[in-house]
Amino acid sequence: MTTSATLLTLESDPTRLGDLQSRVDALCRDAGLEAVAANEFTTAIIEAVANSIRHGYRGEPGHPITVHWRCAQDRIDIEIRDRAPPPPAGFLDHRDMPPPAAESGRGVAMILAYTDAASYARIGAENVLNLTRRL
Amino acid sequence: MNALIIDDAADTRLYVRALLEAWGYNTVDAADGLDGLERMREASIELVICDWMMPRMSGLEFCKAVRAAPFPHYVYLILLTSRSDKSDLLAGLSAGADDFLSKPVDAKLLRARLRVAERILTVQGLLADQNRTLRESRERLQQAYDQIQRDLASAARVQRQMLPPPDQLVSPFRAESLFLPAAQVSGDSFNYFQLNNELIGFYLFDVSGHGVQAALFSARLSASLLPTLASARTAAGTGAPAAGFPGPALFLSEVNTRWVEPDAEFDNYATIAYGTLDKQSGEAQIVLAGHPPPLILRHDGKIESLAAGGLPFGMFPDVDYEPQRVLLHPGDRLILYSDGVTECANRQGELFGIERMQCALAASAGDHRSGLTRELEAQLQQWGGTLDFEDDISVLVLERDSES
Repeated sequence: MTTSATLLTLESDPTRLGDLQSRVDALCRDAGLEAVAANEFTTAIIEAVANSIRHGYRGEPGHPITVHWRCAQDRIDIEIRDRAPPPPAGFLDHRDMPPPAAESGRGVAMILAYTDAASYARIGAENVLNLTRRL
Repeated sequence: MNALIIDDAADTRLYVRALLEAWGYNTVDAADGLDGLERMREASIELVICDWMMPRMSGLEFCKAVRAAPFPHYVYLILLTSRSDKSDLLAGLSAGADDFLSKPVDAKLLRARLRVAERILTVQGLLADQNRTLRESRERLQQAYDQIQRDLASAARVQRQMLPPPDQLVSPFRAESLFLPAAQVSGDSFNYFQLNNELIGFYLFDVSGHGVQAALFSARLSASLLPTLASARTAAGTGAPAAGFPGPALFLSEVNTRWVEPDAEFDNYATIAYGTLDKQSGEAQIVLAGHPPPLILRHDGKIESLAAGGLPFGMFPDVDYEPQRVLLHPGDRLILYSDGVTECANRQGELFGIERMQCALAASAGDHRSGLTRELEAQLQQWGGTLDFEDDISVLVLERDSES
């Protein structure tokens, strides 16, 4: 592992997700996650950021999102912050996948499936989503 | 519109010409088919009203001759006939006639038929214009494509010239290499160079993506990875001290920090294996930036792998890289490769993989003459079933001389 903490900032632009995915995947592998686990956790993070862009900021570009990466000996902690309106109460309770033909609604279920812990808090004007994956 | 009236009866010619002139046509006439063809060669005729029965060349023969001739525009043919048999009409259509008009000529009917002819000729003219525009566009596109292909071929030649020779003695090491770009230009590159009298530097990297953008990134990165360009020399040149070289880990970290703008969107990044070889001791110091771990092929055929490690180059500023050390004994070989080798897929989608690569290397371990890379290339081509690979393939082998 060559880095223990990294702050990634991006605008609410879906075209930036490719960059973010490459960087997060590299960080996951560098932290010691195997390829499949790295891919899973990366997917969870990208889904969370995509939700922030699509649902939080309603697809409007130019709004700030930060992804704070912290790696400890036994786990990776991710903190995703944005300044969008708060999501619906209890949105992290949607653990079940929607029907196979549904065109959306899998994001939260995938986030929960690919993380060991997930929590949300509204702090001031910010949404703060914390995701953890054990190493 | 220019019209030609062909009839061996002079009164009919005069009558039809008079009608057409009155309706705004420019007219010429001829007494039979052969004369008619002569008039067609002399002027641009779009409309022909032609009698069926004539001496020397009949109306049917004239129609066939017109359709066989390469006129630059469509010619609308109306056959004048007193025939009304279905077989005659079919013969006329087969010969190339567009319409028929009964004799004696009825002026109102002729006017109506001419309007049909004008409508069809107008559509034909539009189609011809559009076809000409399409043809010209296609020619311009072809010229642009040819120019791009020539430029890419030139770029590929320059890129290959930037690589070291595929087999070269860098005393006390021998270097051999394999370079199989997926497209004309590649994001892969490698090199070795004299750092100073004691050390040989080397690298192999793989830029994300393919094509021109990756190749330009690759060219820029190649230049950045040569320490103190002013003093370092390629292996072919004389060794000059690369004063102040801080070691591969710190050097790569410094280049990475200079390269990356914090929070900037990145178009490409690279995985790199970068290192030095001590000419006296045979010790290799190798830094990996997200790159597949190099292999060590010992002189007795055993294969070892370095540990994975390091973040890819160009993604994050302030990345610390950690060197791995390995001692190369006489006859040992250090093998750097891009993931195009292990991720080369066969027709079933199965990857070549690290195990097959190790087997290929082990099989030719005892043969220090024929070269590992040629054997590996043959196996990859056999595995992939093609000479064109989906990803760039590059391999650099550095062997410590058995006599050193």
